[in-house]
Amino acid sequence: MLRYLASRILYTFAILAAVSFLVFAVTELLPGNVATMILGTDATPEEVANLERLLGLDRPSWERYATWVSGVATGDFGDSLRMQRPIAPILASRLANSLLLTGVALIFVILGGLVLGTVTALNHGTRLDRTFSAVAVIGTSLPEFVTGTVLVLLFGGGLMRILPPSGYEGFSHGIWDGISHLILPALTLATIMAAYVGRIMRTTVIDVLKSEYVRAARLKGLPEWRVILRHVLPNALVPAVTVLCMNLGWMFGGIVVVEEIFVFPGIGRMMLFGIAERDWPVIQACAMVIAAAYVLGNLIGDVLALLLDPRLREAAT
Amino acid sequence: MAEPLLQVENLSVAYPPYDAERTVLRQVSLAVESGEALGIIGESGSGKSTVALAILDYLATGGRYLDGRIRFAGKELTAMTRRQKRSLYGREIAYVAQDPSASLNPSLKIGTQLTEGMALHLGMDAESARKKAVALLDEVRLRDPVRLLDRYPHQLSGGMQQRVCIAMALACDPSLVILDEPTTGLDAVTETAILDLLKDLKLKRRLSIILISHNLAAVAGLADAIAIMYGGMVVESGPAAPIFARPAHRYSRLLLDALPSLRAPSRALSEIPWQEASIPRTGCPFRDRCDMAIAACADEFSSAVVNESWLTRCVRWKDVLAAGPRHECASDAHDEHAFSAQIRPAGAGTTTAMPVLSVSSLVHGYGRKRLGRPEAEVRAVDDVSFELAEGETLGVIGESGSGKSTLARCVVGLVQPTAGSIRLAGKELTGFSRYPREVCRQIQIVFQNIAGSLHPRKTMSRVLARPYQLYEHRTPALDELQRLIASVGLKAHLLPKRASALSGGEKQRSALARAYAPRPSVLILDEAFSALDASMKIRVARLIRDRKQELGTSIIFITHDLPFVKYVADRLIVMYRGWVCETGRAADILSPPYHPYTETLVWAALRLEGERPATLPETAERDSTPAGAAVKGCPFASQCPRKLGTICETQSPPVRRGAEGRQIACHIPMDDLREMQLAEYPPIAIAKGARA
Amino acid sequence: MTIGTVDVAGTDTGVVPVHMRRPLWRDPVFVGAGTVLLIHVFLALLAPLIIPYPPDQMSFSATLQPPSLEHWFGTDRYGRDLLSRVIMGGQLTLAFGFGSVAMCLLIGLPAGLISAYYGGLVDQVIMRTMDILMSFPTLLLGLLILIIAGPDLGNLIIAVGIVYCPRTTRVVRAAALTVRHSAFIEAAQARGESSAYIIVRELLPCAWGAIIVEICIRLGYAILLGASFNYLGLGVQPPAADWGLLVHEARSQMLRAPWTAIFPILFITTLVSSLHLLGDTIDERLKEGDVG
Repeated sequence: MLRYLASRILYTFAILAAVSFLVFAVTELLPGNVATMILGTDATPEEVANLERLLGLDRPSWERYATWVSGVATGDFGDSLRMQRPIAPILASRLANSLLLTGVALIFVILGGLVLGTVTALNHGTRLDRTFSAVAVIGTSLPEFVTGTVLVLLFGGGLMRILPPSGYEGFSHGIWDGISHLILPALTLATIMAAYVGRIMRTTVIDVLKSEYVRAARLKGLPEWRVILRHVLPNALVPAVTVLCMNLGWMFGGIVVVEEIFVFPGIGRMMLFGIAERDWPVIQACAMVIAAAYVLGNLIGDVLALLLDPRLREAAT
Repeated sequence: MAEPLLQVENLSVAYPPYDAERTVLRQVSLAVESGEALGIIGESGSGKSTVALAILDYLATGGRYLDGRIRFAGKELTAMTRRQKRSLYGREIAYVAQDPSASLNPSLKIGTQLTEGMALHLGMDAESARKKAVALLDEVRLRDPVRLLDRYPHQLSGGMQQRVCIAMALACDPSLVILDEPTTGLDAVTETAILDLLKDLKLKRRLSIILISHNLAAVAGLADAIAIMYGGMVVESGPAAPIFARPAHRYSRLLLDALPSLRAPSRALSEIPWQEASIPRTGCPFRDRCDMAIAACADEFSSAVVNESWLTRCVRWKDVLAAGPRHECASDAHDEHAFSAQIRPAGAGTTTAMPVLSVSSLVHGYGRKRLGRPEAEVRAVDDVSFELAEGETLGVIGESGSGKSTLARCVVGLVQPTAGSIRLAGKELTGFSRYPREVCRQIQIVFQNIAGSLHPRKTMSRVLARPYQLYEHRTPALDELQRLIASVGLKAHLLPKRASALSGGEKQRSALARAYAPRPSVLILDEAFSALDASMKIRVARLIRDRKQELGTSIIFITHDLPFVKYVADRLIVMYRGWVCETGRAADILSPPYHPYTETLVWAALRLEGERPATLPETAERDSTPAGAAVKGCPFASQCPRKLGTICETQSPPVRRGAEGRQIACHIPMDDLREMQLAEYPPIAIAKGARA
Repeated sequence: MTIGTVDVAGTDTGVVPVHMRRPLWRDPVFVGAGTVLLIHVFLALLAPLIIPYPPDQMSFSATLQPPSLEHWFGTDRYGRDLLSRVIMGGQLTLAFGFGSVAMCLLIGLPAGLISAYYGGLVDQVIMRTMDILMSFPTLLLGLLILIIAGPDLGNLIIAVGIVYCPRTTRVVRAAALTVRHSAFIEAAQARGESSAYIIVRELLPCAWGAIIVEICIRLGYAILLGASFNYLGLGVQPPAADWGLLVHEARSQMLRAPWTAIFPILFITTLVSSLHLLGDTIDERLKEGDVG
């Protein structure tokens, strides 16, 4: 098991290395000369050359890649071209906001996905089940910009104004203010995932309910609640949790759109800012962090599945 | 006589839309006396599992009791509330399902699964429940029960899992245990051991048992009473011994006569015609296949009493009984010559004729590496040699993991052997990475897997036309395909059907037709018919014989079914973990000396036929040594009942040669083996003669 | 998943094998979703013929008009007819949807089949490459590609295609693997069929069901992803507008003029839901073994 974990972590690092390479290559391929972009088109060739030297752009790519990677490894993401200051501190506060948003969304996913999925599966074939199935399919068909827009139209001022549609500023104006600004974006972020996880949970629970070991447990005369708690759920959770963790990182990609809709000061908007301003160190930093979150989410998913399923634990040794 | 422990009366069960076609049980009546075992026998689809599920109130969704009642210990089950029934299940009635690996929860430890019922029904605390669990595991003869409690199901072998399931069923000391095909999927030796265990439990605990099986032999050794089911009906029920000796329903009779037996090797095996349409749901369900059917068979017939509790639903039961006891009428004239006598080609056995196929010193191995350290090479096939004469049938016997399927794959070129040679009519084949098409044409194979033997989305015409396109570059005419499909006893109306619409028997016969189409010189049948019902097997075996006479094809017949291979093959090789431990004529394989491994196979087969007392020491549950693992010395040493000592573990056994090409690889000289075995068994070949 | 019925002795567990179900084309969900999809496709194909106004025609006298008989869906802030813009947007949306899925299949179909058939090193190389692509969140990978390539329709198709082709590859490979070790494949090898024949004539037909489901589902997701890029302003450029861009354009005035957001949202939701429902229904049937 430890050996498997070690190899799994090693693999994660290999993927991260590949990711860093790709991220760097992408910004390398960015069209247009960076120095000209900063200085404007009327800059003299000397000024351009000077700035390029200053930014280290005259050095070969691999050397700059090495510098950048070693910087990233120590938490130094370089300086923003536009803002003219180190990226790391800004990134840290933005990342904290985004993680909070994702965390709240995760609570919604667990409530909406795992719980509803299980409940409907236990009522398989009833009207509740059919309704949920249909709603879940539509749920997976809603892109964040649609959910966000609809939620704003419903609760953010269109139909009624219960929750603020934008302007998250942390918890400086009180806890409720912070929470109320988080609810709509988190709901938006959670919708697709909750629907997706809910459907998986539903089918898995239904499958497990049909299994022979559940039949064996029932024929032992165990009361139904015990059958469900001891025999059904532990086995049904494995695929759902794996999927959930794999998509934790995917949700982290979705924040780009959600933060844009709700003008939320997170890492996604920072990246869009970088793209709009052609601020490549910012793009690099954000892409790297988002990708890393995704890869780590997958790793956590694997480890959790391992802890939940003794068969996998065995196979992993 | 006191009321039986369990009594099922006139039970009918149907699924939506509840018409005759969907009625899966028809007026089933059964009784289980306290402390006795009832065997329920039937083919797949006969409704035998539904009976169990109906008793347990666990019918599939939509299943409904149309009629009838179930009484257990004087109480009406059908009138009970859910809660009342729950206190009964697990406590008084326990259930063991067919597939132990599926009926144990993969994420709970054995101990938890064993004790949860005790806590619930008997109110035991954790510690005493654990103690009892240990005692139970010990009772089902599992070694080291204390450690087993903390293991997970997947860490145990199939046989061990089934023992755990039985222990689980016994947890609350129930009075009735229902076992649904408890030994299907286990090898013959393990199967015998499990059946012995059940017999012991029945005696010691005065346990009532319902044993459901398609395997007559498995039931015969255990059951006091039997019920034979067909098409959702109990066609015959009553005390086991008289029914086995002289059934009173034509179906029972044919079923029993179709059973190949080691004891009576040349006995005529009866054929039951194929079921062509769906099974009739009114009147006698068997009448379409019955050779004695009359017009009255289509009418409803409530049972006739043969003798006290012995009931039959055959209108012509008196005529069936008149045929006499089974063993006496065993010599139908037309089949007196068994396969071997009739088919043996003139040249077989003599060394002058060039063999069609010759395999020598064939090895298939693969190295396993772990963290860079190369482990010893694992050999799935280890130094196998044989020759196949024209028109000869070679049986290859061994349990799963013996390398017999790898051997087949080497011969057809799917797998490259590591060493050794394969020659087809003298031409070396091992050099090819892929066989030339002409070689492929000459060696055809039919695989075991019924579900996957034919492409599910292609029509039969396309499937059968393919060999002609491939080898002769032409599309065959319709009448050619019709002739081809008729040659395996199938009707031409199947041609436009897809494989997914065919039954298992039809699929396997179509695969056979496809293999015959290019007129191969060697046909390999890799467990091709193992999954078919006994009567179907016999039909297919006969088909093969007829075609063989016509075409002169040589056949390699791979199976784990000893009585069956005995019936079809001329010569046998016995394989264990990739290694050939015995070679000889099929007719001789039953006369000592045997290789000790063959001895356990023969012993298990005879035990299943209920003919021998346990004389072999019970070998331990097949343990963890992976199949094909590299071993020094004799691969069978760890399981061998006649192990000599360390020599068996350290030196590979010498090949000892006997008469008629008999070869045995064992450290014990042939004469000693014969002496040991004769002391314990009266010679079987002689016993047959003595009885005749 | 096994194919067809198995009649190994002793498998009758008393469970009803095949439901007495309606044929697929009489399943209300299938018919409903299919009809919605067909309407969308027809609207897109016939768009230039049926739109009442040129989609780019501005009218500063009639900005932000609510829906009326004249403008069924109302007008946007430049006075453009929203009905015309939504219908034309459908054309664009379906174009990049189908374009991206075609690209997914172009890569995923051969890669998945070859990976499943050959296994071993070939499989490792193909699947590890796909893994690296999949180790990015979909939106991020697309963003990075669009940053390099620049925003336009063609690049959008390429970006979405690359993002989703590993998933298509996996689905095709998984479907092919379920039959890869079947006896009929081994039988084909043993009788000397060429690898190409086995891949195309034996593996592919067994994967068709899964591929059709994949096309439906993937089309839905491709449309979602593409529309999201357009919403972020990184895909097609104004004045052309797909539904994502229309919602984006509605943002600034959506509280005052909610119809500018509602209609494109309605269209994208019905289209994607119908695709997912179709995929789902077919998938369920395949699992039950009903679809031949």
